[in-house]
Amino acid sequence: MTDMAPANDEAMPMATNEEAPSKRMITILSQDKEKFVVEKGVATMATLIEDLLADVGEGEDKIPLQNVDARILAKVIEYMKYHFKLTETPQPEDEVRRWDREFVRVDKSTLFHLVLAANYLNIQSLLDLTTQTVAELIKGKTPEQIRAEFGIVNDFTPEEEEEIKRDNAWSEDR
Amino acid sequence: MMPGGAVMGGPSVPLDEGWSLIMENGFKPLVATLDGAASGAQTSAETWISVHTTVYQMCIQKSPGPYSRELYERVGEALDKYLETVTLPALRELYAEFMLTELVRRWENHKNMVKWIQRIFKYLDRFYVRRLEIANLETVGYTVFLNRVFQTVKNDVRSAVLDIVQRERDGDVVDQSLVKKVVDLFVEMGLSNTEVYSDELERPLLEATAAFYQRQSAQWVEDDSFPAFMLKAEACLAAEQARAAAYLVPRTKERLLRTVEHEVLVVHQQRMLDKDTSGLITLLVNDAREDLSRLFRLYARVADALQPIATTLKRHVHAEGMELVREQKARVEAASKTSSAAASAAADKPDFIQALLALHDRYTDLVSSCFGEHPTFTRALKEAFEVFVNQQVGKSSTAELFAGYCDELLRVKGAGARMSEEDVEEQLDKLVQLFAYLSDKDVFQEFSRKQLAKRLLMDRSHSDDAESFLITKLKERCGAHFTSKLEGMITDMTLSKDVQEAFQVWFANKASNMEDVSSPATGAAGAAEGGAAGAAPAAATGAAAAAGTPAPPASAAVAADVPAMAVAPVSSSGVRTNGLDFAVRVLTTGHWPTYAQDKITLPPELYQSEQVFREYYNTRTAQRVLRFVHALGKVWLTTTYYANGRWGGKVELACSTHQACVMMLFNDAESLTYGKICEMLGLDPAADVSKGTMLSLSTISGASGSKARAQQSQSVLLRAPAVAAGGAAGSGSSTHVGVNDVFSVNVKFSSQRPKLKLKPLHAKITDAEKEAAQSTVHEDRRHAVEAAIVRVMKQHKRMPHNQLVVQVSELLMPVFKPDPPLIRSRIDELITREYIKRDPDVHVYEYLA
Repeated sequence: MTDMAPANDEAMPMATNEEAPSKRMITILSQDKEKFVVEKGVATMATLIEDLLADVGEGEDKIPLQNVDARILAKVIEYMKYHFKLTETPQPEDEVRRWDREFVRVDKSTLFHLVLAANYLNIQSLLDLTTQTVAELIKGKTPEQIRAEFGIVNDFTPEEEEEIKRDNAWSEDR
Repeated sequence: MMPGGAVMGGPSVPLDEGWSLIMENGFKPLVATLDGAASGAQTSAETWISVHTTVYQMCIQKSPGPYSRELYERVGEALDKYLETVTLPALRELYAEFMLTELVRRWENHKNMVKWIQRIFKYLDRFYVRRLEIANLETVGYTVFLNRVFQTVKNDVRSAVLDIVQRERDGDVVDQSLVKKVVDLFVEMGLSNTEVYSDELERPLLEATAAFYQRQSAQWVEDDSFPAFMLKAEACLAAEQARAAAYLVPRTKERLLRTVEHEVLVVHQQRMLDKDTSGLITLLVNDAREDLSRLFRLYARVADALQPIATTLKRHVHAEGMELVREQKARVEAASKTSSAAASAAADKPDFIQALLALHDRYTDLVSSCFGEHPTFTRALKEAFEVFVNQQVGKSSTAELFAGYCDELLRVKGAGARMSEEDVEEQLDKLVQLFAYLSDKDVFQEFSRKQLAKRLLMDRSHSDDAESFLITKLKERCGAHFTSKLEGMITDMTLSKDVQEAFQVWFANKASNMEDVSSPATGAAGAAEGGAAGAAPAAATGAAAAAGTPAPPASAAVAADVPAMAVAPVSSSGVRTNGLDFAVRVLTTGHWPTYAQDKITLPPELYQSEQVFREYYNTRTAQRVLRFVHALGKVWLTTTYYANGRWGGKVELACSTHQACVMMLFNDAESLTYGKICEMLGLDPAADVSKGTMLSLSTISGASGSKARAQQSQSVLLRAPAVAAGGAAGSGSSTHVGVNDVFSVNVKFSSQRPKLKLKPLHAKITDAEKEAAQSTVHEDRRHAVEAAIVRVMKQHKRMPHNQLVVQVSELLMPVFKPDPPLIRSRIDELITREYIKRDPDVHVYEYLA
């Protein structure tokens, strides 16, 4: 799971001196201390990291994250790399959408953790993508189906539930 | 959206514990760094993450509850406390530039702190601030500084800034970049609106500026000449502009300059313009171009400030122009004491017009080189010139003088003949520019038409190109209708050449086809010539004229009715009819001035030629009536004279048709009375033209004096004034011709030259012609006014008097300025003729279809 970046980077044809600043490598540590070495440009896809680099000293290029474990971080970095690369070599919109859809084709637990990680790392596009995907899971489902889907226990009394249904009758889209 | 439960979050964080961690690990080290206490000890990534994650955790945790609100409030409080306890006391210890320097440093630090807060507490901005729609952290940070620091120190800061500006105006070198930073602070304190800057700094600065320049300029006005004053004004404007560029915001630059312009330029403008020894008039008189250019540069900056300058310029030019008019009047008056002819000669001299042209040149050049050809000044010039250009000088209006000057430029032997083509065109061009100011353009038109006619008919124009140049210029200025007659005249001249050539061809054919007809004609001509030849020896006395060889007669003709034509003769390429070369110019009536129909009985030789041409002309067109204008004709006669006891050589006499006719009478008689001559030629003995002709040919016999004797040998005829009963006065005078005066051939006539030109026709316009021209103009004006009234009324149907007068005047303005009485009289005329009627109640006219 470590060091997925270098292989890709070597494959990239351009390595001139001008590119040097963006080639600065950043080591991101997951909460469970796993190392991920990526280009600075990839790392700063996360606004959290961008903000941090603005405040800490020059030499600080090890970032010990909290709140995100290696499994999710690897997934997030995959996303960041893909989207960083798009800034250099743009792809057709359709192609990007297809990749994004494929990216979130994951189990519910992973999806939720991606939401949280995107929020914590402040990656707006990933947050939009994952929350949109969650919304699609809910869409068109009855409260009962949603409870079943997400394993939520109904803590309303029948009266409360009746009232809420009445109040929101307008939203029924039938 | 805020994801619920901290699925992967760390342990929940109590408020005070979390806050103190943030303060200890984040805020305090930061402040220490900024204050310079802890050198280089920068935050580690790990610490940063931990502080940030603490904030994050405190915002998302459900228990002991999200502390977004508390964090938001405490951040503001922490900043405020820092400013109150550290920043303010530091500033209070300092004064002037030191205080400004510290303030700028503190403000920079504060902004860095705010940036740090924005990053560390970003989660607040992302969700809490956005959901509640409250001020974001940056605004909170700026507001705290505004309220705590800026409001407290702003007065001191402002006076320190104004003090620096004042010192710089006094010549000190100051720290402009410091001022610039303080100015930026005032702008930033407005939090995206400009009130703080406007109220707290800009207005006081402008007030101080106004007060300063009020004092300065009041002093300059006292001490300095206008040019020196302007130099200072220019320098201070440049200085203020540089100052504004160095440290003020762009908007203030304009306001600052307007303030200075007002205090320095506007307030003292009139006083400086009128300054006795160095005001505008002096600058104009001295032609101080550099100062005048500066004057324009300076005052062109200020709205409406050019008008007073233009007014003075106008007054000055007007005065100079009126002075020229006065001089001219004096000249004419002085000359008129000698004789009226001298007066008109003085009036006709080109000096006056040349002086006007020079004046115009000088000021148009000034306006274009110093005043940027600004419309305000071109208008002022126009208004000034219009006044004095339209002054009546002596008997002649300026319009006449203009026309006269044109003639001078274009006439053979006029001033223009001695100039190069370019110079003539330049003069004409300038004249036409000046001409634009003339209100009596129709007078000019009439006069220049007459003069053009003379030039064309007498071959006195020295350049066709210059003629057409003038017409083109006039056309540009006044429109095609203005020059249509002039162009028609030129066209006639061109066509006449064609007619003459066709006439030659026609006559040649006729001669060869009809020998029987042409033979007698030739015979007759031969006879005429023979007669002349015979007459001369018979006369033995010498002179006598004969229609001679290269000498065609001429005379012109003209039509009475609409498609009419006039003809004048040409010597070259003449058609040889009955022994005479004969040429005719056909002129279209209407284009040309009206020429009197003068009856004169032509000698048979000439009459036949005239008839031949009539015959030819009728083959060309049946629609046109030909009327010969003999007064414009020219004839060349040859004769032999007796001198020094033998017959001298032949001499060729160039003369008018009238002169020729008279001389040819003496082929058959030695002497004739004036009365008899008139009778034979069908002339009116009282007419000026008859008398003039006689006078031009003769001298009084027996006159004594060497001068008279000299004249005597040059005159063809001698005149013996009749001894009137009682010796009537004047009969012997040189200008009076009586019916009983006897004319005889002058046997002593001789000529040094083979060709002799008899006293020429009037090349210039005579007084009589001037009057005729004036009356033509008046007549034309009456028609023009009537036409204009009808046009206006036809369009509007009903119209009150005043409005009608205005509209008619506007319509006629390009040609002349009609006076209201003329318009009124024409209205009355049109009412009589029932084109319009007057509604007596409302003073309104009504158009009658």
